[in-house]
Amino acid sequence: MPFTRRHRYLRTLAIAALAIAGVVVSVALGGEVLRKLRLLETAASDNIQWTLSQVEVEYLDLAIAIEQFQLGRTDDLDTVRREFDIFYSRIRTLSEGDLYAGLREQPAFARQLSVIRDFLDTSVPLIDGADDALARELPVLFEDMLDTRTTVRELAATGLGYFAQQADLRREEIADTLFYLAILTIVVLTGLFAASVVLFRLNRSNEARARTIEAASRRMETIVNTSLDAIVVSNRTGRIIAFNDAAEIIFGYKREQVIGQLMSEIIVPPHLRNAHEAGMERFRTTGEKRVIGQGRIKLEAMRSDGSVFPAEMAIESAEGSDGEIFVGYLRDISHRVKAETDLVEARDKAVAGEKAKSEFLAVMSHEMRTPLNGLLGTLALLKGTKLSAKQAQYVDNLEVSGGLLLTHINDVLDVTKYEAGKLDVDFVPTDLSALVRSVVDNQRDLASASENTIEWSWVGKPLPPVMTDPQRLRQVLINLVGNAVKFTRGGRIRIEIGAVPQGGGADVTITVSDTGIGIAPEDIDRLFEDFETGDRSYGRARNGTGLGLGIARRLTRALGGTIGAESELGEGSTFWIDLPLDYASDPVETGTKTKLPARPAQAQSILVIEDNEINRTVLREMLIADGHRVVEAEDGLQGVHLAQSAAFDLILMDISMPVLDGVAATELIRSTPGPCQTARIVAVTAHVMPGEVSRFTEAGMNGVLSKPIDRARLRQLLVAQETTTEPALSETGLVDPGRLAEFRSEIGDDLFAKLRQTFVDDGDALVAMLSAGGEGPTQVADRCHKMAGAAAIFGAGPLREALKTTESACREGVSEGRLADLIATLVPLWADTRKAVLSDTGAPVAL
Amino acid sequence: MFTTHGPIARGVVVAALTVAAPLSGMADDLPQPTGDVVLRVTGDIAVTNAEGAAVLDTQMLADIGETTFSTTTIWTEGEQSFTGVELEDLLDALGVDGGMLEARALNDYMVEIPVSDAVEGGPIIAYLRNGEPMSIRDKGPLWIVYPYDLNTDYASELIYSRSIWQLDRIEVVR
Repeated sequence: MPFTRRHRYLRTLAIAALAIAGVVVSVALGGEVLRKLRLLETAASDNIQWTLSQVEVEYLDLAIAIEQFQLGRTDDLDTVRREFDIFYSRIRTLSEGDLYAGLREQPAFARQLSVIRDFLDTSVPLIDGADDALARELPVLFEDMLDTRTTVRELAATGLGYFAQQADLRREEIADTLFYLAILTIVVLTGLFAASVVLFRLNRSNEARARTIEAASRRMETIVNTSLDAIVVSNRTGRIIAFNDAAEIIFGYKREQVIGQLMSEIIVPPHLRNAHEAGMERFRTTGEKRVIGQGRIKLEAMRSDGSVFPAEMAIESAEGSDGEIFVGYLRDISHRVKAETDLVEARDKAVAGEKAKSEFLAVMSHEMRTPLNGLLGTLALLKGTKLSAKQAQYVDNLEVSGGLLLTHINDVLDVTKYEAGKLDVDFVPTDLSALVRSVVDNQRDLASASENTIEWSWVGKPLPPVMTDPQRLRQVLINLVGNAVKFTRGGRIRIEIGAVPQGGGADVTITVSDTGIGIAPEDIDRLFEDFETGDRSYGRARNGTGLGLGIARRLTRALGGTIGAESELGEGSTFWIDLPLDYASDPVETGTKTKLPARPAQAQSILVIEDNEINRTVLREMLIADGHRVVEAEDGLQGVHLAQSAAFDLILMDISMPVLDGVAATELIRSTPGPCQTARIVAVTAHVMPGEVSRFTEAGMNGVLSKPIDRARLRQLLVAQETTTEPALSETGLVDPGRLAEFRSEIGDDLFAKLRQTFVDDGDALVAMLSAGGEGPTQVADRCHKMAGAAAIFGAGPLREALKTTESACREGVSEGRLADLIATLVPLWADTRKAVLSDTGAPVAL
Repeated sequence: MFTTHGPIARGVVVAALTVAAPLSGMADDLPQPTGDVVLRVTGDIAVTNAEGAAVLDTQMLADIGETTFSTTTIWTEGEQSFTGVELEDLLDALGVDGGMLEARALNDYMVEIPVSDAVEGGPIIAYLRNGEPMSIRDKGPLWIVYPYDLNTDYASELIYSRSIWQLDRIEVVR
């Protein structure tokens, strides 16, 4: 575009220059022609020729006058004198006139003129003399005169010849000039023709452009005035030069009120004016554009009534007819901003609600499982007493109902855990055949009760052991088979395991088919939703929480697989799960957990710390029944005192307790020298929320026994104590990388980084405080205690131990020197630990 | 020539006085010449002082009105001062309001001068050149001179041809 414009400009310039040159040359040449034409015209007046021929005529007139006198025809000498004077005058004209200057330069003419003048000058005294002298001398004068006769004739001829030559020259010049004029005329005409062609085309394109511009302008005006956005145009000095209809509505000004006003005073709210002015000034002086041409920006604008509203604005600069202009497009986004705020609030509320729900579920699970623990435990004890057949049947019924209730609670907990992303899966070598067989065995009685047959088989060759979480997979399969059994009467339930080798493992498909009532295809997808119990008959038959298949789906996903179903109403159903499984490199651990382990050979002394009397009683009775010695404590503090007064093989520690909770009690036992400092401590808790278990182990616990307690697991725990050595705290270095990695994966990288920073800051602050001194021992103990907890979380064992030592020393009353020693140990230890914690990058570590 | 026709001219004047006076009463406006007659105007004129003619001496011309200007001419060398009566003034005095002048010189040179040439600031009939009367040898005694330098329109051959010297007769024709 600039090139075209430049090109057009140059072309116009060239035409103009050509035209001017043509005019100048034409005028010059025309003037010359006119001048010459005039010369030509005056030459035609023949004055010179006449004058020259008149020389001879007047010479002859003089001669005639003298002859007349000599012949006596007149005695009047006046005529002679007059003719002489006339002749004299003529010669004088030739001698003096500017007209004949050129002629006089001709040597021949000059000589001839000189001869004649000599004669005249010689004769003057005689002519001017007395009559008688003149009459007497006239013949002599006449003789002299006749002598010049030839000269006079030659003079005239010379002059005429000269002027004829001059005329010829002039004619040639004129001819040349005319020739040039003709050529020039052709050139100029050609030029004019070309110019008119160019001008015609220019005019036509100009007209077309004018029409286009007019149309565009009309269109633009329509666009501007129908725009829903305010359009405000200002000039370089910030004065408004255009204000569209939408702007009138948005700002509440009439166009004529604001035209020419400063934009900053009209629509920029007072608190933004300085910034606006600074921006404009910066642009004027440096040309820097921060807002202009940067697309949409959000800012605030002001209405005529002074109210300020949020606006979205885009400013562009453009070249107007009077210099640079700024075009601002502005939209009132009050509604949008309000909607966004509302949305954020709504979301926050929803999130808070979701969190509350999750917390509610967690709390409820605890609150429900604790009494259930008591219930089931007591039932177990009741079962061990002497009962009539009827009573035994009632107890069985109670156990079935209690177990079902426990299953429901566990379902809810599984959902909560899964939603929190903390559904634990533990991949161990697993024999699929054994797993499926156990499921079938588990369900066989129920199937028989519904007159169903149940069978299972491999499709193809059985697989070697694979890596998966057998508990979770079993849970899924029991759910699927359980459903099949429930919805089939007098039919057949079939489980098939198929495998397609894939890399280092196989894609395993387990299908559970039945010949039951089936499900409408359109309902299949909904089956896996939470709280979905299929059609009403399904709902009635299942009579459950509606979480079964939802949990199955979650568990399958947690195992890395997918779950689905195919069915027709009345045609039975087929549920399938697909699992990509790796082959196990280790053999499958033998021994089933479902069978009650043998009671331990050796009786143990056990401290039970539990505030709930029922639960305490249940535990006590179960343990005593197995021949163990039991001491009870009702709260943490009591438990700690007992632990310090006597040695125990095992401490079963409830977590939620008044006075001192389980975690704190454990820490106290571990940190205080005493008979139980290294004793095995196992948490007994319904606290099954993620992160809790690690908190317990960090506090120094060796294991977790979740409520409700069942005898099998309790026995297993005691057997394990006999056969396994106590796991020592990992002390591979200042920081346990495994613990750190676990912690990082539990809470995620972002939160980890944040907490780690808090840890480092706290540590720095603590060390600074200790180094400075001046704090009371209680304060130091508190700070050390707090820091020790944090150190445990980050797997900083040595630091934790050192802090614990310091804390204890402070609480027991420590000498200044001892404290100084402790601090001297702590400071470098903190520095090293700090480095170790910070150097953790989250990269996988070898455990 | 004037000398030759002197008595006749006088007779004409007398006749004009006796015949024309009662008719026009303008003959009185033009006195008889007292010096040598230098110009004789004939033809279509309203005022005469001789038989069908107005005869004038240098003084009479001067009395009608004297004008002086300086100019160069193509026939002379250097700037010249000319003094004479404006042709317009003369023609006014003679009651000429149009037509053509046939001006004749001593050597019988004749040129036609349109009366429209006679304008204020236009040609004069000069009788002094550089303050001196002009002899015949000096193109005198009368010379119709245009102010060539004052008005470039006069610097043309046509005007030059009308610049008649040794003028002694003018006939006014319609």
